[in-house]
Amino acid sequence: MTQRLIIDGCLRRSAFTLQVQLDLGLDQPVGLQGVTGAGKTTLLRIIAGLEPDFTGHLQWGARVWTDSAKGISVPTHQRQLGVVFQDARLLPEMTVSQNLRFAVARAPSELSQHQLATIAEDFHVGDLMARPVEALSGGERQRVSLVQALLRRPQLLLLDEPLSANDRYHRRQVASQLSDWLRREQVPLICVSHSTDELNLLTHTTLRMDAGRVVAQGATSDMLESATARTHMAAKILEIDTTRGEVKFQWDSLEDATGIAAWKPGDRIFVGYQPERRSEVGAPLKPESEEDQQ
Amino acid sequence: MNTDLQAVLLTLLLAGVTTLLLALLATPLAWWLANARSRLRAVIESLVAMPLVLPPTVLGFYLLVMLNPDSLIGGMWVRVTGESLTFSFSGLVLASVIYSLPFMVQPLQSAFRAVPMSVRESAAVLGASPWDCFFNVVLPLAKRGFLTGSVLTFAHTIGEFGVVLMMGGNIPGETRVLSIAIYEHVETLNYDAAHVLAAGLMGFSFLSLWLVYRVAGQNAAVVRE
Repeated sequence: MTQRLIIDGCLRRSAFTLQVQLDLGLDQPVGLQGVTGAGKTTLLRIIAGLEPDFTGHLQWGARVWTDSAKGISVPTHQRQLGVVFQDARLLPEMTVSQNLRFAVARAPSELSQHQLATIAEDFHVGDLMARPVEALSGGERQRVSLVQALLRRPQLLLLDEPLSANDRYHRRQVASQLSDWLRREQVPLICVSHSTDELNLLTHTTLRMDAGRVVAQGATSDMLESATARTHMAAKILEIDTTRGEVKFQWDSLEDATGIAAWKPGDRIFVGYQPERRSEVGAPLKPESEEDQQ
Repeated sequence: MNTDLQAVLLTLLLAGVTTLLLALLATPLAWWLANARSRLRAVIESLVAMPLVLPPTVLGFYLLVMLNPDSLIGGMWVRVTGESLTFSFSGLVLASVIYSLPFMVQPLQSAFRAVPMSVRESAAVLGASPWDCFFNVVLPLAKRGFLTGSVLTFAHTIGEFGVVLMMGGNIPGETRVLSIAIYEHVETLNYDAAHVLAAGLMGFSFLSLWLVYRVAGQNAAVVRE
C-alpha cells in the first residue's frame, strides 16, 4: 500500500512565507533538514492541522485533510497522528503514567497493561512512570513524549528533533528502538533532525528546506554527504578579540556533527583563515585537559 | 436569637445556591472571554465587571424595576411559578448571581487563560476532541480558579446588603439575610446582637480571603483590573 502525502499551499506570516508543493511517498521514512527558521517545524504543524492560516490543499492517502478552497479542514484530533514537538510538551500536573494512559485511552485499538509496560521499558521510560512530568529532565520528557506518540497508534508519525535533549547513550538506544518499531508497525515517519546519525538510522529519503521552501530531496546518505561537502566550513567567525584571546563565532546547526556545540569557553581551537573565502573555524583541538594527560 | 439563626441559615443557603449556579453559568462565559478575539469581548468584560463599580443600590434599583410583577420578566416569572421575583428568595438568588458575577468569572478567566495553547495542542494531537480536552485537561488545570472563584462568590454573597435591601426587603425566612439582620439590630439599638453577627461575619470573611490567598499563591489578585 502506497502512503502518499500531498501538500500544495502556503502560509504567510509577517516575516516568513512558507510555500510548499510536495508529493511525498512515505513507504520509507522521510527526514527533514535545514537551518533553524527554514520552516521545518511549521511544515509539521501544517500537516498536523495546527496552523489554521495555511491556505491550500493537504491530502493524506485518499483523505483530504485540508482544502481551503472547499472549506475542508479535518480537526487535528481526527487525523490520528503521533507528534513529538520540539519542546517535548506533555500534559502538565499529571504523572508520566497518566500521560501515557491519556494517549492509550484515545487510541483506536486496545492496549494491554503488559504491552504498555513493554514499550515503556523499550524506550527507557519504565522507571519514570510514577513521576510527575514537572520532575523530568529534557531528555526524559522527550522519551515520554515519543512513547505517548507511539501509544496513540498513529497512521503517521511526525517527530521534531525527538531526541535532541538526550545524552548520547539514550540517543542511540532510543533511535534504534524507534527504528525497530517503525519497521515492525509499518508506520510512516517524517522526522526533523539536525543529527546526521539520527537521520541515517531512521530515514531513507531526506528533504532539505530553506527559507520556507523545500530546496532539495534525495536519499538520506547522499543528502547528508552533500551537506557536509557543501560547507566543509564548521563555523563563521564574527569577532576576534586578540587582546583577550577570545573568538566569537556562529555555526550552522547542520554542522553540529563536528561537535562544536560541545565546545566550552576556554577550549583551545584551531582557527584557519583563507583570504579568498571567509574566515572559518576548523577542526577543534583536543580540550586542554585531555592534552595534559597525553 | 431564633430569627438571627434563621437569618444565618438563609444567608448560607443563598450563598451556596448562588455559588453553584455561578460556577455553572460562569464557566462557559469565562472560557469564551479567555479565548475570544472579537471586539465584543471588551463589551462583555465591561458588563461582567459592572457590579464591581456600581453602587449596589443602583443595581438593586434596576433589578427592582426589571423584575417586579408588572414588568415583562417579572410578570412572566409570576405566570410560570406563581410567585414574585421581587421580595422573594428566588429574586435574591437572581440578584446575587448578577451581583457576584465578576467574582466568579474573573478568576476562572485568568485560570483558563493560564492554560497554554501548547497543552491544548498536545491533547488534540493525542486524539482529544475539544470537549474532551476541555473537561479532562483544561478543567483540572483550572481547579484553583474554581476554588478561588467559589470562595470569593460565597463570601461576597454573604456580605451582600444594598441589593437585598432594595429588592428583597426584610422578610424573615425569605429575604432577611445576615447583613439586613445586623442593620435592623443597629437601628433598634440592640448592639449586643449586632456584635455577635458582625464579628462572625468579620471572622468568616477573613478566613475566606486567607484561604484564597493561600491556595492561589502569590500571583493572584482577588479582583483583576
